[in-house]
Amino acid sequence: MIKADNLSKIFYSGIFKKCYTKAVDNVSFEIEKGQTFGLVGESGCGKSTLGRLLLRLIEPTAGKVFFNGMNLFDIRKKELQRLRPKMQIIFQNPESSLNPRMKVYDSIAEPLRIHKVIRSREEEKERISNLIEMINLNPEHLGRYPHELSGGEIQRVVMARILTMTPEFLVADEPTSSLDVSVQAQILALMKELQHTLGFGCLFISHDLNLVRHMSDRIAVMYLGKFVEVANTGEIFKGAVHPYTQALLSVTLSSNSVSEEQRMTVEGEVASQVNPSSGCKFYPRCPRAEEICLELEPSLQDMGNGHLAACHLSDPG
Amino acid sequence: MAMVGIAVIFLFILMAIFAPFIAPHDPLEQNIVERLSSPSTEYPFGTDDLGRCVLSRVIYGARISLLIAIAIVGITTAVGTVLGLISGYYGGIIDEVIMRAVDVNIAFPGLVLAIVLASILGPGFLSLVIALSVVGWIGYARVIRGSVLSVKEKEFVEAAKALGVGDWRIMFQHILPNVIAPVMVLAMLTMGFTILIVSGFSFLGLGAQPPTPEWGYMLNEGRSFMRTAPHLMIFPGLAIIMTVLGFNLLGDALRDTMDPRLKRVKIE
Amino acid sequence: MTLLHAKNLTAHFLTEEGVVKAINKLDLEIREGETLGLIGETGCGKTVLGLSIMRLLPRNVKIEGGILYGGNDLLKLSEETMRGIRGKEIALIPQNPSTSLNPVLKVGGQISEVIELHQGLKRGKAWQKAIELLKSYGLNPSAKGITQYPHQLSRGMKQRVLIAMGIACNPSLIIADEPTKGLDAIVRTQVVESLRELSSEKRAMLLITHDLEVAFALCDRIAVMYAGGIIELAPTASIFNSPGHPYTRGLLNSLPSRELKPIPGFSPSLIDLPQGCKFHPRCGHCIEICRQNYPEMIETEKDHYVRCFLYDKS
Repeated sequence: MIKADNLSKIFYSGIFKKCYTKAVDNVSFEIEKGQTFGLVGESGCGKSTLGRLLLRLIEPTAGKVFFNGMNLFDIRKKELQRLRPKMQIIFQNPESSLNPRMKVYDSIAEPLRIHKVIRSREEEKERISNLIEMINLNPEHLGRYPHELSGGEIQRVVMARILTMTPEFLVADEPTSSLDVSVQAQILALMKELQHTLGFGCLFISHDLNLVRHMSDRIAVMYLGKFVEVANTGEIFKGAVHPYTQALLSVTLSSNSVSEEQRMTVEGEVASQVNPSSGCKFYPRCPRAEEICLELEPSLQDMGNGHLAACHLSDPG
Repeated sequence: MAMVGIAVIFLFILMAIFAPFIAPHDPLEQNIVERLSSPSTEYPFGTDDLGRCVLSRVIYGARISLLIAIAIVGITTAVGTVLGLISGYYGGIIDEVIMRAVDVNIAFPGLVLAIVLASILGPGFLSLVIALSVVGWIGYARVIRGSVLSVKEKEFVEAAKALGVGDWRIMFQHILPNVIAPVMVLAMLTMGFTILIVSGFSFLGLGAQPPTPEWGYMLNEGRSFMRTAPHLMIFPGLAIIMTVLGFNLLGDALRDTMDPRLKRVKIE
Repeated sequence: MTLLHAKNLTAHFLTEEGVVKAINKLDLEIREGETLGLIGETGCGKTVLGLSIMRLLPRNVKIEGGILYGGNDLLKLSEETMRGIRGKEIALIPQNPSTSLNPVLKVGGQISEVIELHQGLKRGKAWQKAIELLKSYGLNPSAKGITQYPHQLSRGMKQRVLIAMGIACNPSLIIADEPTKGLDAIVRTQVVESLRELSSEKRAMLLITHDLEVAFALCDRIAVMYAGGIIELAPTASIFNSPGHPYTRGLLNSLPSRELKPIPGFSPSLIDLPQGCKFHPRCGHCIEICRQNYPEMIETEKDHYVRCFLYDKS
């Protein structure tokens, strides 16, 4: 349903646009209908940029994105506007996800109005009250302004708005990172239920591996703009191969975790992406780095069973 | 304080609207016999050197001052807001062009422009309104542009784009309501300033022409009689002071109401 | 043994929308040298508790009860005396590193300011101390850290600067308010490590967080807060292995590392609190008495207290 082909996005900065940041570096993958693809990585690894590229909210530097066979970067603006309701996004910060000057009801009704789907006010009201029920929101909130709602309630409103146009694909960009633990569980349970009922495909972006584990069928681990490991969920947790994935796994705090020694320490901060060097991007922080890692950048290799990894030390060949 | 401002302005607006009913005499009617007489029951503010009732002239003057100020502030706010919106939203070349226009404008003194226009179009209110409007929109444009730059990065704008909302609707439905507040305050404060400027120009002979009862012009007319008939300057002067003060108080109050609304005590 | 004791504490905010009952008859002891976790969700009043101890609440608050520390009631001390205690004996590591640091002052200066103020050292000596502190956190001071402005540092580093500021004067109690909020997994671990080093130096810490995993990693005891009151208090292992209160159990089940199972219903509004046990509208085990009466703390195991009628044998 969604297919990314060699997608890249480079941001230029500096006075003469000399400095460049490879936010997304040659990424390819597919998401099927009804499937959830999890995307994990630290802040700044490019996962948000990737999400936005898939919806063409930003223009790519290279590559293609196919939505039901159509290349999104090839079609005209009008065509794109028509397709937009089918591919939607939920953001991380509830506070800025809704227009603070618009009542909740109007925010939800907006897509219906601009795409001229509904013919009368009554029909609009009915559609919206059905949606409100579906997402378990108190109808009293409809007449209120966003600042009167809690974070969890706002995310529900955002979902209602998205559902007005029955999307086929949803990008969830850390939708629950600013929410409390129990509200998070509620919102994600709701998302899963909706996906089950409506059958849309989903790109679930998060920095929390535990969350991604619950929500996704297939997971990609991203580092500095590249996929370093891609596999089905079970595989990632049982047999992760890339040192970065292993580090993330061990660092994922868990009250269920066994012992301290298992914890692989990762030193330092994520390296700057500006004007990157050659070789493996993880080299400076990798506890198992070798010489070849500094010289040659590893590419994603298929290790069998749909499990891909970009590391010299795990090359199948 | 705000109430005082509102009351004062309201008073002047009423005065302007109901001028024909309130004014005891025709502001243009001359009565040479009674010229330069002090305030009396017949002429509560006295008469000027052509025997015209000063009170009536002050009352009718409210019309003129308010109308012109509204015209200028209205035009500048509208033009400045739209240009600021477009400039901030689209960025790139459009932004560059508009901002350069702003820069050119700043360098150009309004006074010079007013004089030039006066010589071309002849002195009068039209040239004044044009001159001040041409110079006045830049402040609003810059304020709006700044706010637009930060608002357009917010997620709800991206969300609107993702929903397929067109550019113009985004600008006017989503961004504008969220950036307009400081402009309203600025507009209110500028009203007072504009009245002052118009009076100033009229005082210099660039705006109002005889026999128009404009406050600044009346000040000018009264200058020669400062010693003998001070009431000719006192009353129009008071009128100017009161309206300017009223608008300033209103603007301050407006600004204060806008602010706390943005602050909410969040309990964690 | 007891370092600080909040006794029968009540804090109500008088706002336009009504009275926000943030803390209601709360009782909590912090023991010397322990790390006590205060778990709760947004809107339960936990940050208000931290601010109450520091006497940093806004004017529209009505406070009752007492906070006993070092033989005094902190609520009754003068502002001047309080200022001498803040930063020196009781320090706060605030939320939100991005807004808690002055953006126009260099980071080193902000740390040394605290030292100068409370330890009376001159500027040069204070800077020295600040440098040492930052070094001990792995923030290489000559290159980064000391001579940087806040915006040049990453979130994790800013948080560690705040920690350094907090312990600069060797306080006997640190209140850490959501130190890992919004941080990534790896950075979170680093901050947790920094915090762990603090507690091993025999100073008490009140760790306010909604992140149970962080509490598990750092705390000796945990207090679970709900709608302005403490509903469970026990040693960490006890809370995680045998949680007593239905809310605590629900909270643990909703963890991503466990089942991600939601608790039904919504947190109550602090303006409109329910009668009786504040959790009863959402509780699967609710019985009649829960609706009417407010339960007392009952000791279910050694040092493990639960505020629930399920354990009330009477």
